[in-house]
Amino acid sequence: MSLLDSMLYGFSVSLSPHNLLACFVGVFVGTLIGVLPGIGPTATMAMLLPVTYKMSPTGALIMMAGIFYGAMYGGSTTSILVNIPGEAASVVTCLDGYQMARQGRAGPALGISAFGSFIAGTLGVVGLMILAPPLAKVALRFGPPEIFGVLVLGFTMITYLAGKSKLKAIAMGILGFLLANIGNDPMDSVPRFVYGSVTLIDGIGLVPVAMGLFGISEVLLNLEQPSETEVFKTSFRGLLPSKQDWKDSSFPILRGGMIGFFLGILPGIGAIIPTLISYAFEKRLSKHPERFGTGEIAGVAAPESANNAATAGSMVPLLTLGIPPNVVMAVLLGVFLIHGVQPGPLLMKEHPEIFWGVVTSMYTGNVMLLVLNLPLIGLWVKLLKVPYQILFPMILLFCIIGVYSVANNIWDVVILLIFGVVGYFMKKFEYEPAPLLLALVLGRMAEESLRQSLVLSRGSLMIFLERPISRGALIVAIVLILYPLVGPLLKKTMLRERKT
Amino acid sequence: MKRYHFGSYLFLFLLGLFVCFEARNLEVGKIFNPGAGFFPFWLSVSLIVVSGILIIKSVFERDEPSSEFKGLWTGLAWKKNLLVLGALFLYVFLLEILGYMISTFLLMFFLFRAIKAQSWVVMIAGSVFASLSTYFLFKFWLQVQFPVGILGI
Repeated sequence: MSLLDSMLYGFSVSLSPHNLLACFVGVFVGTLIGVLPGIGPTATMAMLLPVTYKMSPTGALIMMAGIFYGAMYGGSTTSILVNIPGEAASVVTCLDGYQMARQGRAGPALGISAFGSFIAGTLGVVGLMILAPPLAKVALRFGPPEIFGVLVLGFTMITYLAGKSKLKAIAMGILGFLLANIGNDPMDSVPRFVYGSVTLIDGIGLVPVAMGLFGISEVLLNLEQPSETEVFKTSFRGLLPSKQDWKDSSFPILRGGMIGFFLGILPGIGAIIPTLISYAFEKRLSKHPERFGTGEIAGVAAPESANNAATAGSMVPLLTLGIPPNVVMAVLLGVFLIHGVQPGPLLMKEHPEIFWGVVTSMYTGNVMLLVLNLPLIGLWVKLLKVPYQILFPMILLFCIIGVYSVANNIWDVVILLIFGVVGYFMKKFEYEPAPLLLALVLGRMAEESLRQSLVLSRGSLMIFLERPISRGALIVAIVLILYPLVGPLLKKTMLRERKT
Repeated sequence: MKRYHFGSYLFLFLLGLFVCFEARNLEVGKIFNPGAGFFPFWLSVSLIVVSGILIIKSVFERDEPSSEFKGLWTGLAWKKNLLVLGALFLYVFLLEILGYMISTFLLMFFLFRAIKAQSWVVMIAGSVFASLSTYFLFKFWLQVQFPVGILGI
């Protein structure tokens, strides 16, 4: 099938009434939780897992993807109006968006972030469509050593990009891998770290851990905060950006989209880092960098475009390699597996309806978001006024039912609560939860690929260097590991040489 | 380096030791034929190394003055968290005894009160609505088997 044929086929799937409804529900819920601070796409997707049981796998994935990019739209609203990012990926939008709102230009700020998200999101989907098929062909040739090499590179990048302490991020990654070891050993079916528990034999599930770390712990952290937020009062007449606004933001939208898409593909990046980079990039390119932070429209357009394009980019490794590059994609992998579908190089051949259906639904979803967002901004603002003391019991209840319904097992709820507490302390002690969750999801794959490679090579570690793909991945990983150690030394010696 | 972080490093270090010990009871195997304990063993060794480095670093770095362990919770309403968590664990315990409807009603009623007492109407109506709507949504539409308690609902 040519690309065009595949696209038409995809639209015939995604435009069926059932899938269209799934897409609508996804983007609507996504926008909703994007607006509400304190609950993110990861927890929401995990919470809504049971709702997808009765859906077709395609419908389920369309809805889940919609939640992710819908949240990116919704997150900007609170950043602009209240100076509180509804999503971490909208933190940068606060800088200029809130200033614009204070100057009475909330309308154009919201408008340009919706249009920018739409344009960049659509471009991202085009990129995904062009890039995924050839990548899947390459990935078909992957054996255990290649998979292990790519996983090592992925984890190196995740820890390399970790916020404050790389060592702590590494520790969390190891902890995640260790948690993945609980349960039956994938190759010999020997029970490990089970201690007689029936629940633990199947291993620790992704859903209770994800909801605990990202849902329950977030509620706990919010509960102890004393302050309540006030919504900035402003009028929303004239949401449409002016001609000058368009002129100022069209290139930032395109550049933000490119940055978002390509960075989104890389492991560990997610949707947050592209927003920071695209903002910094625009500031550097601008003739008036001093205006950034005082209500410059490019400072809203670029990051908002970047985070939407990043969602499309991050789908690339999941759909072609079966490896989720960030936490949200890890939950999406969970959705795939629950419906008995293995994402990866064979997805396009074995389940073309899922691949092309989900990808084309992102076009439709972006149109829906644009139509949905502009007239409904007033409603979203009202939602912000729902007091947290009414909201949080519902979030907790949905987390519990969501976890319980996966296997009708009450012990999964206990695991959820334990990881809620663990997540709470991790935030307090400045440990990042993302490496842990990703390692938990990828742990079995990593162990199998390592052990199979070692059996193949009769114990020679050289097998990872003999295969070109794993060699390349490992070399990049080693450079990344060594750079922070060697980089400063190199700089010093170079400076010394220059002096002499 | 903040002083209270030392405790978390020590925890990771001890956890690594524990896993290492346990993994040796499983079959570690040889590098040409790795066994069930191979992966956990080498992971725990790396956890011990990483947390060991963190411990050494924290010992040699100077302490920030405002880094008391207690400081993490000053000015915060952490007692509410204990209440909410206690309620959640109790809920899990009661779920199989009282059944979904009653225990959920009680949980929601408590949670609506926990932070800031709402009016009685809000608390009762909210709890009834939350337990009934989720019951019908999940039980009849999604066919989740909720625990049946003493009342059979």
